[in-house]
Amino acid sequence: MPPRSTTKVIKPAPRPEKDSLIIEHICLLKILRGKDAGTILELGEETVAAGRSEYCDLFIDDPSASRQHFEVGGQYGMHVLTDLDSTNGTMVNGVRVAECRLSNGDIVTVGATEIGFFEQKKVRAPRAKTPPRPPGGIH
Amino acid sequence: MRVKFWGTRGSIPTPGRTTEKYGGNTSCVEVTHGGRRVILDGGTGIRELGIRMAGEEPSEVVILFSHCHWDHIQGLPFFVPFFKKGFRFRIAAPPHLSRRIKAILGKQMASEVFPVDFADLGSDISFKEMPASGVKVGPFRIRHFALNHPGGSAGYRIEAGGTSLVYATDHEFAPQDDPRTFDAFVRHLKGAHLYIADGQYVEKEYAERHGWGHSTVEHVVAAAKAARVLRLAVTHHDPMHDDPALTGFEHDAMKQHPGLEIFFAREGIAVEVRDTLRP
Ligand SMILES: [Zn+2]
Ligand SMILES: [Zn+2]
Repeated sequence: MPPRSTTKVIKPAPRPEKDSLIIEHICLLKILRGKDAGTILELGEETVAAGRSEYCDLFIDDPSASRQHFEVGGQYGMHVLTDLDSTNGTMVNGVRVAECRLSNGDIVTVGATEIGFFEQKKVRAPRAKTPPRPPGGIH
Repeated sequence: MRVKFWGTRGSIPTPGRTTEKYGGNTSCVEVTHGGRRVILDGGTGIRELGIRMAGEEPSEVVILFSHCHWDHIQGLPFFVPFFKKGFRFRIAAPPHLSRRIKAILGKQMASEVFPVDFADLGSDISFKEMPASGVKVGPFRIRHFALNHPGGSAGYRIEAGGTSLVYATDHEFAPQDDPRTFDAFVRHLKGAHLYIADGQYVEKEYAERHGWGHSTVEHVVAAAKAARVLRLAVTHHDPMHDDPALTGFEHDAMKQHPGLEIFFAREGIAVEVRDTLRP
Protein backbone atom coordinates (compact mmCIF):
# COMPACT_ATOMS: atom_id res chain seq x y z
CA MET A 1 0.00 0.00 0.00
CA PRO A 2 1.47 3.36 -0.91
CA PRO A 3 2.26 5.59 2.01
CA ARG A 4 -0.38 8.10 2.74
CA SER A 5 0.44 11.51 1.46
CA THR A 6 1.31 14.01 4.11
CA THR A 7 0.53 16.93 1.82
CA LYS A 8 -1.82 19.32 3.47
CA VAL A 9 -4.48 20.94 1.45
CA ILE A 10 -4.70 24.59 2.32
CA LYS A 11 -7.95 26.14 1.40
CA PRO A 12 -7.69 29.73 0.17
CA ALA A 13 -9.21 32.36 2.36
CA PRO A 14 -12.52 33.52 1.00
CA ARG A 15 -11.88 36.24 -1.53
CA PRO A 16 -14.20 39.06 -2.40
CA GLU A 17 -16.47 38.20 -5.29
CA LYS A 18 -14.67 38.53 -8.57
CA ASP A 19 -16.88 41.14 -10.09
CA SER A 20 -16.86 43.24 -6.98
CA LEU A 21 -13.43 44.67 -7.85
CA ILE A 22 -12.72 47.01 -10.69
CA ILE A 23 -9.34 47.32 -12.44
CA GLU A 24 -8.72 50.86 -13.63
CA HIS A 25 -5.95 52.05 -15.92
CA ILE A 26 -4.53 55.24 -14.56
CA CYS A 27 -2.20 57.38 -16.61
CA LEU A 28 -0.07 59.99 -14.94
CA LEU A 29 2.74 62.45 -15.42
CA LYS A 30 5.33 62.51 -12.67
CA ILE A 31 8.17 65.00 -12.32
CA LEU A 32 11.24 62.81 -11.92
CA ARG A 33 13.98 65.42 -12.01
CA GLY A 34 13.98 69.15 -11.41
CA LYS A 35 12.20 71.38 -8.96
CA ASP A 36 9.06 69.83 -7.52
CA ALA A 37 10.32 66.32 -8.29
CA GLY A 38 7.75 63.82 -7.10
CA THR A 39 4.78 65.90 -8.23
CA ILE A 40 2.15 63.73 -9.88
CA LEU A 41 -0.63 64.75 -12.25
CA GLU A 42 -3.24 62.11 -12.94
CA LEU A 43 -4.54 62.28 -16.49
CA GLY A 44 -8.21 62.05 -17.21
CA GLU A 45 -10.30 62.81 -20.27
CA GLU A 46 -9.58 66.54 -20.31
CA THR A 47 -6.59 68.09 -21.98
CA VAL A 48 -4.02 69.33 -19.49
CA ALA A 49 -1.30 71.92 -20.01
CA ALA A 50 2.22 71.96 -18.62
CA GLY A 51 4.53 74.94 -18.42
CA ARG A 52 6.01 77.78 -16.40
CA SER A 53 2.66 79.53 -15.97
CA GLU A 54 0.99 79.00 -12.64
CA TYR A 55 -2.25 78.48 -14.53
CA CYS A 56 -0.90 75.24 -16.01
CA ASP A 57 -2.17 71.93 -14.63
CA LEU A 58 1.44 70.82 -14.32
CA PHE A 59 3.69 73.65 -13.20
CA ILE A 60 7.24 73.30 -14.53
CA ASP A 61 9.55 75.48 -12.49
CA ASP A 62 12.36 75.61 -15.03
CA PRO A 63 13.79 78.70 -16.74
CA SER A 64 13.90 76.82 -20.09
CA ALA A 65 10.20 76.08 -19.98
CA SER A 66 7.75 78.26 -21.89
CA ARG A 67 4.71 79.55 -20.05
CA GLN A 68 2.52 77.11 -21.98
CA HIS A 69 5.01 74.43 -22.96
CA PHE A 70 3.08 71.32 -23.94
CA GLU A 71 -0.32 69.80 -23.51
CA VAL A 72 -1.56 66.24 -23.16
CA GLY A 73 -5.00 65.27 -24.38
CA GLY A 74 -6.88 62.07 -25.08
CA GLN A 75 -7.25 60.75 -28.60
CA TYR A 76 -8.42 57.28 -29.70
CA GLY A 77 -8.02 56.11 -26.11
CA MET A 78 -4.39 57.23 -26.03
CA HIS A 79 -2.69 60.23 -24.49
CA VAL A 80 -1.20 62.55 -27.07
CA LEU A 81 1.43 65.14 -26.18
CA THR A 82 1.54 68.28 -28.29
CA ASP A 83 4.30 70.85 -28.05
CA LEU A 84 2.74 74.32 -27.79
CA ASP A 85 5.35 75.97 -30.02
CA SER A 86 7.63 76.18 -27.02
CA THR A 87 10.86 78.15 -27.40
CA ASN A 88 13.19 75.36 -26.33
CA GLY A 89 11.21 72.33 -27.45
CA THR A 90 9.79 69.20 -25.87
CA MET A 91 11.78 65.99 -26.05
CA VAL A 92 10.27 62.52 -25.72
CA ASN A 93 12.95 59.91 -25.03
CA GLY A 94 15.55 62.29 -26.39
CA VAL A 95 13.69 63.17 -29.61
CA ARG A 96 12.39 66.69 -30.11
CA VAL A 97 8.75 66.24 -31.08
CA ALA A 98 5.91 68.41 -32.25
CA GLU A 99 3.45 65.67 -31.30
CA CYS A 100 3.70 62.17 -29.83
CA ARG A 101 1.37 59.48 -28.54
CA LEU A 102 2.66 58.65 -25.11
CA SER A 103 3.57 55.15 -24.07
CA ASN A 104 4.26 53.73 -20.60
CA GLY A 105 7.73 54.74 -19.40
CA ASP A 106 8.27 57.61 -21.85
CA ILE A 107 10.47 60.40 -20.51
CA VAL A 108 9.44 63.92 -21.44
CA THR A 109 12.24 66.48 -21.08
CA VAL A 110 11.74 70.22 -20.78
CA GLY A 111 15.02 72.01 -20.13
CA ALA A 112 16.54 70.29 -17.11
CA THR A 113 13.22 68.89 -15.97
CA GLU A 114 12.34 65.25 -16.61
CA ILE A 115 8.77 64.09 -16.49
CA GLY A 116 7.75 60.44 -16.74
CA PHE A 117 4.55 59.16 -18.33
CA PHE A 118 3.26 56.07 -16.57
CA GLU A 119 0.33 53.78 -17.07
CA GLN A 120 -0.69 51.97 -13.91
CA LYS A 121 -3.32 49.48 -12.94
CA LYS A 122 -5.34 50.37 -9.91
CA VAL A 123 -7.74 47.95 -8.29
CA ARG A 124 -10.66 49.47 -6.47
CA ALA A 125 -13.98 48.49 -5.04
CA PRO A 126 -16.97 49.55 -7.08
CA ARG A 127 -18.93 52.60 -6.19
CA ALA A 128 -22.14 51.83 -4.35
CA LYS A 129 -24.74 50.66 -6.80
CA THR A 130 -28.00 52.49 -6.97
CA PRO A 131 -30.54 50.22 -5.35
CA PRO A 132 -32.83 48.46 -7.80
CA ARG A 133 -35.99 50.36 -8.43
CA PRO A 134 -39.26 48.71 -7.59
CA PRO A 135 -40.86 47.38 -10.75
CA GLY A 136 -43.04 50.06 -12.22
CA GLY A 137 -45.45 50.10 -15.08
CA ILE A 138 -47.81 47.21 -15.39
CA HIS A 139 -48.96 45.63 -12.14
CA MET B 1 8.34 71.26 -42.83
CA ARG B 2 6.48 69.14 -40.36
CA VAL B 3 6.54 65.37 -40.74
CA LYS B 4 4.00 63.09 -39.12
CA PHE B 5 4.16 59.30 -39.13
CA TRP B 6 0.73 57.67 -39.54
CA GLY B 7 2.03 54.20 -40.33
CA THR B 8 5.45 52.83 -39.42
CA ARG B 9 5.09 49.08 -39.90
CA GLY B 10 6.45 47.17 -42.88
CA SER B 11 4.89 44.26 -44.76
CA ILE B 12 1.62 43.75 -42.86
CA PRO B 13 -0.35 45.52 -40.12
CA THR B 14 0.38 44.28 -36.61
CA PRO B 15 -2.38 45.43 -34.26
CA GLY B 16 -2.29 44.53 -30.58
CA ARG B 17 -0.87 45.48 -27.23
CA THR B 18 2.67 44.35 -28.00
CA THR B 19 3.05 46.81 -30.88
CA GLU B 20 1.08 49.81 -29.64
CA LYS B 21 4.13 51.94 -28.83
CA TYR B 22 5.67 51.92 -32.33
CA GLY B 23 2.37 51.20 -34.03
CA GLY B 24 0.79 48.50 -36.14
CA ASN B 25 -0.32 50.42 -39.23
CA THR B 26 1.66 50.16 -42.46
CA SER B 27 3.60 52.91 -44.24
CA CYS B 28 2.19 56.40 -44.41
CA VAL B 29 3.96 59.71 -43.76
CA GLU B 30 2.47 63.20 -43.99
CA VAL B 31 4.59 66.24 -44.83
CA THR B 32 3.13 69.71 -44.35
CA HIS B 33 4.50 73.17 -44.96
CA GLY B 34 2.82 76.53 -45.39
CA GLY B 35 -0.64 74.98 -45.31
CA ARG B 36 0.17 72.49 -48.11
CA ARG B 37 0.40 68.74 -47.77
CA VAL B 38 2.30 65.84 -49.36
CA ILE B 39 1.44 62.25 -48.44
CA LEU B 40 4.09 59.56 -48.82
CA ASP B 41 2.57 56.12 -49.36
CA GLY B 42 -0.92 54.85 -48.59
CA GLY B 43 -0.49 51.92 -46.22
CA THR B 44 -3.14 51.36 -43.56
CA GLY B 45 -1.85 54.39 -41.64
CA ILE B 46 -3.52 56.64 -44.21
CA ARG B 47 -6.95 55.73 -42.84
CA GLU B 48 -6.49 57.77 -39.67
CA LEU B 49 -4.93 60.65 -41.59
CA GLY B 50 -8.03 60.55 -43.80
CA ILE B 51 -10.31 60.81 -40.78
CA ARG B 52 -8.38 63.91 -39.70
CA MET B 53 -8.51 65.44 -43.19
CA ALA B 54 -12.23 64.76 -43.58
CA GLY B 55 -12.85 67.26 -40.80
CA GLU B 56 -10.94 69.98 -42.65
CA GLU B 57 -11.76 72.11 -45.68
CA PRO B 58 -11.11 70.10 -48.89
CA SER B 59 -7.71 70.86 -50.35
CA GLU B 60 -5.26 69.89 -53.07
CA VAL B 61 -2.87 67.18 -51.92
CA VAL B 62 0.09 65.47 -53.57
CA ILE B 63 0.47 61.73 -53.02
CA LEU B 64 3.77 60.02 -53.74
CA PHE B 65 4.17 56.26 -53.79
CA SER B 66 7.44 54.46 -53.23
CA HIS B 67 5.94 51.41 -54.95
CA CYS B 68 2.76 49.39 -54.94
CA HIS B 69 3.36 46.55 -52.52
CA TRP B 70 0.39 46.00 -50.22
CA ASP B 71 1.92 47.76 -47.24
CA HIS B 72 2.15 51.00 -49.25
CA ILE B 73 -1.31 51.11 -50.85
CA GLN B 74 -3.65 49.03 -48.73
CA GLY B 75 -5.16 51.88 -46.73
CA LEU B 76 -6.40 53.77 -49.78
CA PRO B 77 -9.84 52.11 -50.11
CA PHE B 78 -10.51 53.40 -46.57
CA PHE B 79 -9.11 56.89 -47.11
CA VAL B 80 -12.23 59.02 -46.58
CA PRO B 81 -11.10 62.13 -48.54
CA PHE B 82 -10.92 59.97 -51.71
CA PHE B 83 -14.69 59.72 -51.46
CA LYS B 84 -15.31 63.43 -50.82
CA LYS B 85 -16.07 66.01 -53.47
CA GLY B 86 -13.80 69.00 -53.35
CA PHE B 87 -10.58 67.16 -52.54
CA ARG B 88 -8.05 67.11 -55.38
CA PHE B 89 -5.31 64.51 -55.38
CA ARG B 90 -2.26 64.76 -57.61
CA ILE B 91 -0.50 61.43 -57.77
CA ALA B 92 2.98 62.04 -59.12
CA ALA B 93 5.29 59.12 -59.76
CA PRO B 94 8.48 58.27 -61.63
CA PRO B 95 7.87 57.00 -65.18
CA HIS B 96 8.14 53.25 -64.50
CA LEU B 97 5.55 53.50 -61.74
CA SER B 98 3.38 56.19 -63.26
CA ARG B 99 2.37 53.96 -66.16
CA ARG B 100 1.11 51.17 -63.89
CA ILE B 101 -0.09 52.85 -60.76
CA LYS B 102 -3.63 53.74 -61.84
CA ALA B 103 -4.31 50.17 -62.93
CA ILE B 104 -2.90 48.74 -59.71
CA LEU B 105 -4.95 51.04 -57.48
CA GLY B 106 -7.99 50.19 -59.60
CA LYS B 107 -7.41 46.45 -59.17
CA GLN B 108 -7.24 46.92 -55.42
CA MET B 109 -10.83 48.16 -55.60
CA ALA B 110 -12.16 45.69 -58.19
CA SER B 111 -15.75 44.59 -57.52
CA GLU B 112 -14.58 41.10 -56.48
CA VAL B 113 -12.68 42.54 -53.52
CA PHE B 114 -14.18 45.96 -52.76
CA PRO B 115 -17.67 47.44 -53.05
CA VAL B 116 -16.71 50.83 -54.54
CA ASP B 117 -14.99 51.19 -57.89
CA PHE B 118 -11.91 53.44 -58.06
CA ALA B 119 -13.52 55.32 -60.96
CA ASP B 120 -16.54 56.19 -58.80
CA LEU B 121 -14.63 57.99 -56.05
CA GLY B 122 -16.02 61.45 -55.38
CA SER B 123 -12.75 63.38 -55.28
CA ASP B 124 -10.73 64.56 -58.24
CA ILE B 125 -7.76 62.22 -58.67
CA SER B 126 -5.17 62.71 -61.38
CA PHE B 127 -1.94 60.95 -62.28
CA LYS B 128 1.18 62.64 -63.48
CA GLU B 129 4.57 61.39 -64.56
CA MET B 130 7.38 63.03 -62.62
CA PRO B 131 10.37 63.89 -64.80
CA ALA B 132 13.89 63.01 -63.71
CA SER B 133 14.49 66.68 -62.95
CA GLY B 134 11.66 66.59 -60.41
CA VAL B 135 8.68 68.86 -59.90
CA LYS B 136 7.77 71.97 -57.98
CA VAL B 137 4.40 71.78 -56.24
CA GLY B 138 3.39 74.71 -54.08
CA PRO B 139 6.26 75.26 -51.64
CA PHE B 140 7.71 71.77 -52.26
CA ARG B 141 10.54 70.88 -54.62
CA ILE B 142 10.37 67.11 -55.14
CA ARG B 143 12.86 64.80 -56.83
CA HIS B 144 12.81 61.02 -57.13
CA PHE B 145 15.49 58.38 -57.41
CA ALA B 146 15.54 54.61 -57.85
CA LEU B 147 15.87 52.23 -54.93
CA ASN B 148 16.85 48.58 -54.87
CA HIS B 149 13.78 46.47 -54.10
CA PRO B 150 12.03 43.53 -55.78
CA GLY B 151 9.90 45.12 -58.52
CA GLY B 152 11.51 48.52 -57.91
CA SER B 153 10.87 51.30 -55.46
CA ALA B 154 11.33 55.06 -55.56
CA GLY B 155 12.95 57.36 -53.03
CA TYR B 156 11.98 61.03 -52.78
CA ARG B 157 13.89 64.09 -51.74
CA ILE B 158 11.61 66.96 -50.69
CA GLU B 159 12.77 70.49 -50.01
CA ALA B 160 10.75 73.38 -48.64
CA GLY B 161 11.29 76.36 -46.37
CA GLY B 162 15.07 75.90 -46.43
CA THR B 163 15.01 72.33 -45.13
CA SER B 164 15.19 68.96 -46.84
CA LEU B 165 14.08 65.43 -46.18
CA VAL B 166 14.61 62.12 -47.91
CA TYR B 167 12.05 59.32 -47.81
CA ALA B 168 13.70 56.09 -48.89
CA THR B 169 11.83 52.87 -48.28
CA ASP B 170 11.85 50.01 -49.34
CA HIS B 171 15.53 49.66 -50.12
CA GLU B 172 18.32 47.13 -49.81
CA PHE B 173 21.94 48.26 -49.88
CA ALA B 174 22.99 45.57 -52.30
CA PRO B 175 24.95 44.16 -53.85
CA GLN B 176 27.09 44.71 -50.79
CA ASP B 177 30.33 44.41 -52.71
CA ASP B 178 29.43 47.14 -55.19
CA PRO B 179 30.34 50.55 -53.76
CA ARG B 180 28.65 52.30 -56.68
CA THR B 181 25.14 51.52 -55.44
CA PHE B 182 25.99 52.84 -51.99
CA ASP B 183 27.67 55.97 -53.37
CA ALA B 184 24.78 56.67 -55.74
CA PHE B 185 22.35 56.45 -52.86
CA VAL B 186 24.46 58.70 -50.66
CA ARG B 187 24.51 61.36 -53.38
CA HIS B 188 20.71 61.65 -53.20
CA LEU B 189 20.87 61.75 -49.43
CA LYS B 190 23.64 64.34 -49.15
CA GLY B 191 23.07 66.87 -46.39
CA ALA B 192 19.40 66.02 -45.81
CA HIS B 193 18.04 67.39 -42.55
CA LEU B 194 15.86 64.33 -42.06
CA TYR B 195 16.36 60.87 -43.56
CA ILE B 196 13.35 58.57 -43.24
CA ALA B 197 14.85 55.14 -43.74
CA ASP B 198 13.89 51.50 -44.12
CA GLY B 199 15.58 49.84 -41.15
CA GLN B 200 13.48 46.69 -41.10
CA TYR B 201 16.23 44.39 -39.85
CA VAL B 202 19.18 44.40 -37.50
CA GLU B 203 22.55 43.03 -38.54
CA LYS B 204 22.20 39.60 -36.89
CA GLU B 205 19.00 38.86 -38.83
CA TYR B 206 20.26 40.00 -42.19
CA ALA B 207 22.24 36.87 -43.11
CA GLU B 208 18.95 35.08 -43.75
CA ARG B 209 17.22 37.99 -45.45
CA HIS B 210 19.52 38.83 -48.34
CA GLY B 211 17.58 39.84 -51.41
CA TRP B 212 14.35 40.61 -49.56
CA GLY B 213 14.71 44.27 -50.46
CA HIS B 214 15.19 45.86 -47.04
CA SER B 215 18.02 47.36 -45.05
CA THR B 216 19.39 46.94 -41.58
CA VAL B 217 19.64 49.71 -39.02
CA GLU B 218 23.42 49.45 -39.41
CA HIS B 219 23.17 50.01 -43.20
CA VAL B 220 21.07 53.15 -42.90
CA VAL B 221 23.25 54.56 -40.12
CA ALA B 222 26.29 54.10 -42.41
CA ALA B 223 24.50 55.91 -45.25
CA ALA B 224 23.32 58.68 -42.92
CA LYS B 225 26.86 59.26 -41.69
CA ALA B 226 28.36 59.18 -45.18
CA ALA B 227 25.79 61.71 -46.39
CA ARG B 228 26.10 63.84 -43.24
CA VAL B 229 22.38 63.90 -42.58
CA LEU B 230 21.23 65.66 -39.45
CA ARG B 231 18.55 63.29 -38.22
CA LEU B 232 17.66 59.71 -39.00
CA ALA B 233 14.17 58.31 -38.55
CA VAL B 234 14.10 54.52 -38.82
CA THR B 235 10.78 53.12 -40.03
CA HIS B 236 9.19 50.17 -41.91
CA HIS B 237 9.48 48.11 -38.73
CA ASP B 238 9.48 44.34 -39.16
CA PRO B 239 6.16 42.71 -38.16
CA MET B 240 8.15 40.25 -36.03
CA HIS B 241 9.61 43.07 -33.91
CA ASP B 242 7.41 43.92 -30.93
CA ASP B 243 7.74 47.03 -28.74
CA PRO B 244 10.36 45.62 -26.36
CA ALA B 245 12.52 44.51 -29.32
CA LEU B 246 12.24 47.87 -31.10
CA THR B 247 12.88 49.77 -27.85
CA GLY B 248 16.08 47.74 -27.44
CA PHE B 249 17.22 48.34 -31.02
CA GLU B 250 16.49 52.06 -30.69
CA HIS B 251 18.47 52.35 -27.44
CA ASP B 252 21.38 50.43 -28.96
CA ALA B 253 21.47 52.65 -32.05
CA MET B 254 21.30 55.85 -29.99
CA LYS B 255 24.07 54.62 -27.68
CA GLN B 256 26.35 53.38 -30.45
CA HIS B 257 26.06 56.52 -32.59
CA PRO B 258 25.99 59.52 -30.29
CA GLY B 259 27.02 61.90 -33.08
CA LEU B 260 23.88 61.21 -35.09
CA GLU B 261 20.37 62.04 -33.95
CA ILE B 262 18.48 58.77 -34.43
CA PHE B 263 14.96 57.79 -33.55
CA PHE B 264 12.68 54.93 -34.41
CA ALA B 265 9.46 56.31 -35.87
CA ARG B 266 6.38 55.72 -33.77
CA GLU B 267 2.84 55.91 -35.05
CA GLY B 268 1.48 59.39 -34.31
CA ILE B 269 4.84 61.06 -33.78
CA ALA B 270 5.34 64.42 -35.48
CA VAL B 271 8.63 66.24 -35.81
CA GLU B 272 9.62 69.57 -37.24
CA VAL B 273 12.37 69.31 -39.85
CA ARG B 274 15.05 71.71 -38.65
CA ASP B 275 18.36 72.74 -40.11
CA THR B 276 20.11 72.55 -36.77
CA LEU B 277 20.61 69.78 -34.28
CA ARG B 278 19.05 69.74 -30.82
CA PRO B 279 17.78 72.98 -29.27
ZN1 LIG C 1 7.15 47.88 -47.70
ZN1 LIG D 1 8.03 46.54 -50.82
